[in-house]
Amino acid sequence: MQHSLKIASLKNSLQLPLKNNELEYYGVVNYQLADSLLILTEKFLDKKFRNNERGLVKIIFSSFVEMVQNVADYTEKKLVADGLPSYLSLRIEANEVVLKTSNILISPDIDAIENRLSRLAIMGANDLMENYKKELFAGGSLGLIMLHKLKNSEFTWATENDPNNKNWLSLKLKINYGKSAH
Amino acid sequence: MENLHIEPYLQTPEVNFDSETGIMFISGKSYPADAIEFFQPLIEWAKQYSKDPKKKTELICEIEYLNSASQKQLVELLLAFKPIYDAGQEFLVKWKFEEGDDDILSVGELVEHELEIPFTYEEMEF
Repeated sequence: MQHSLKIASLKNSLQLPLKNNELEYYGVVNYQLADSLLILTEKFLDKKFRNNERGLVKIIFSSFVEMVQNVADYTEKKLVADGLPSYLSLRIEANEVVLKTSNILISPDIDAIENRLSRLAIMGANDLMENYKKELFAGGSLGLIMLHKLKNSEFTWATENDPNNKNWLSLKLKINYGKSAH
Repeated sequence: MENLHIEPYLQTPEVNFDSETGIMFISGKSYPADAIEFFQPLIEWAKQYSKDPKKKTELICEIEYLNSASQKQLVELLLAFKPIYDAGQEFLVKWKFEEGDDDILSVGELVEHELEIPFTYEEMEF
């Protein structure tokens, strides 16, 4: 009961809707928000999965960390001055966990990000590992490579314009696990 | 030189760097969004220590979580300690990870291979 109350209190402070199997946030995602949300996510996953599923929880959590921190990083560099919001979601379904992020892209960045994601999407395991090594030691961005390397999962992305002519990048990661959550 | 001690916090590990014993210890979860800010004092300390190290230096890493930003900073930290090994003095990384955590294990193996410094590996419970 105490654990549930702590989660409820954290969700309340972040103004998150109280859903049984989902964490969801819409607003400015700066480093501080990202840190708080990820602490909440850790507690949420520990509550939802059994003790003997730590391996699965770590995979889900590590993936969400990369996705959320990607958004926070981009927000801090490009969006925070204008107070532009992003969307984050982690939802536990019957046989999979679905992680989603959506954030605005400023126009000069669209081509580069689309090219990078397109290139990663067609890489095999060996190429992904080579890219991972290169980025790890050259100080590049590892998060997207790590998401592509994940087994038993499906990673998709899309960019689209909204009615206000803002460009959005959406990332979606589905991690298959079977009927383990309760 | 002064030892470096940082208490573990929600997303950052415990750090104990002891210049008298030559034993360096990082333990716990590391997933801060701004890993550079967290690791910078560790890297600066390592650079200073490497100028006048003990006869034997051990870096013990007990890693439960390691986000990508921390992985990069850990590489920088090892590069800051590497001059000790390159100068022919004893330097060893003890890489400890949760049983079954192939991701953390493979990070250690990759870094060992690329930086060419000695690692040992041990599974543990968190």
